[in-house]
Amino acid sequence: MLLAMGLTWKDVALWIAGFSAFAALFAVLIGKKRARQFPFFATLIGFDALQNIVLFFAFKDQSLYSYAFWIGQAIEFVLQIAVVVEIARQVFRPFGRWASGARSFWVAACGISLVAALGLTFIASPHAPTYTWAWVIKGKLFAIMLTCMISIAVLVTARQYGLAWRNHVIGLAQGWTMWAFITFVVETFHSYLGYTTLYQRLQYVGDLANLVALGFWIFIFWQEEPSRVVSPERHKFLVEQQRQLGYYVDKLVSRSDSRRSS
Amino acid sequence: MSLPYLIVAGGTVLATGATLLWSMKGVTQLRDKEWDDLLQMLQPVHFRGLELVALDHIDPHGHQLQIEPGDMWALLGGPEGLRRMKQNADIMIALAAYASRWNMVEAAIVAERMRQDAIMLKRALFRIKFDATLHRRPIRFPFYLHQVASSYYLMLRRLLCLYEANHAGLHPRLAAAL
Repeated sequence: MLLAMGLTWKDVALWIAGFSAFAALFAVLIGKKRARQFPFFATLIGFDALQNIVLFFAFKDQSLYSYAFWIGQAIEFVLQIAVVVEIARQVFRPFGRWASGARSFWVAACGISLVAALGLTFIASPHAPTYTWAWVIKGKLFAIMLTCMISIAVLVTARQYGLAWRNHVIGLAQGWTMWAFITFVVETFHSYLGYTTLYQRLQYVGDLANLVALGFWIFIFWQEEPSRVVSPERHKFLVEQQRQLGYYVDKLVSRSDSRRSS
Repeated sequence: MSLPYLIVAGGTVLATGATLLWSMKGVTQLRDKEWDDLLQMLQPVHFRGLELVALDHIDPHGHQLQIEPGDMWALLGGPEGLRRMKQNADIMIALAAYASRWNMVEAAIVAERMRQDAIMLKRALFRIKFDATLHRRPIRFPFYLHQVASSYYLMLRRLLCLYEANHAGLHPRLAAAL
């Protein structure tokens, strides 16, 4: 029946594998209570699992499928950005406050990423059967390029500012950036080659990268993190210490600046 | 199929990939290292020279212009010395974080202080390197050297004091490596 709907065995296999992986990861996130730490990521995974089912049943009706697909893509893009912000907050706020300088550096890097993504999308002119298809390819390129670059900006900022990573956050970030980069490469090829015979083959590469990332996350989130329980009193103490440190450093910097200028 | 677009897109992909590899290397390099591995990665810096330049900045006495910029450069070991300090900075922060096994609160605070020192160290090193690339030696050059020396010296002192207070057994090996 599935093959009669115009799907190849590869499409069916990927669809089943994709749904299974999303559902398994969602179950791990909920069952192991990781969703509390990563609510947007858990929401994205749950949404993707649901989207798989909805699109599968909507496939027979092209019009319905088209609506469901594009609404799903828009929601997915917003959730992807939310996941990157979620990772950034975990890394850049070790004691509940943004590490000094990290936020402005990351926001600046995101601004550069947005300009680069807009620029590359603007100059792309993929070969496609219809005008709409060309914009589909350009839109997908923009979305994944922005997601990829701001994810990498998180890693760059963390490295620049010497910020530490906890196990689950680093696992999420590594899988995320690798998936985003591979998908970015695929969409860049799509934007250059257009809607040709290679389009679907390249899409399979992206789908496989997605499956590998899902498997990696299932493995990462299944494991327990080393316990670093901080009592509420200690946490309050650490937050206050960080606030005082920030004030102290600002005073030293402004004092040395005024010595240099005098 | 436009060749200019291929060049721009290909360049963007390559630049993004290179940045990804560089940042991933930084994230994973020190995370899982054991104490002995971290210690072996440290490269010795001439302590007496460093101390002289650092204390000239943070603990001034009479004759504050005694050490000339050329002397500072030599006392810090020139480009090799600066390179070693930059490499050691992250390792020292990792060593401070390692001490959280024995005293979580103090190690966390000290590591954060050292991270702030490292930011100042790296900014000053970047300015020195940038000026060296442009083959110029601006009037601020000795101030950058002071910042480098004092930031590194403070990091070193904080780390040694942390280990002295929390794991005296490892303190001599750490002091020797630094």
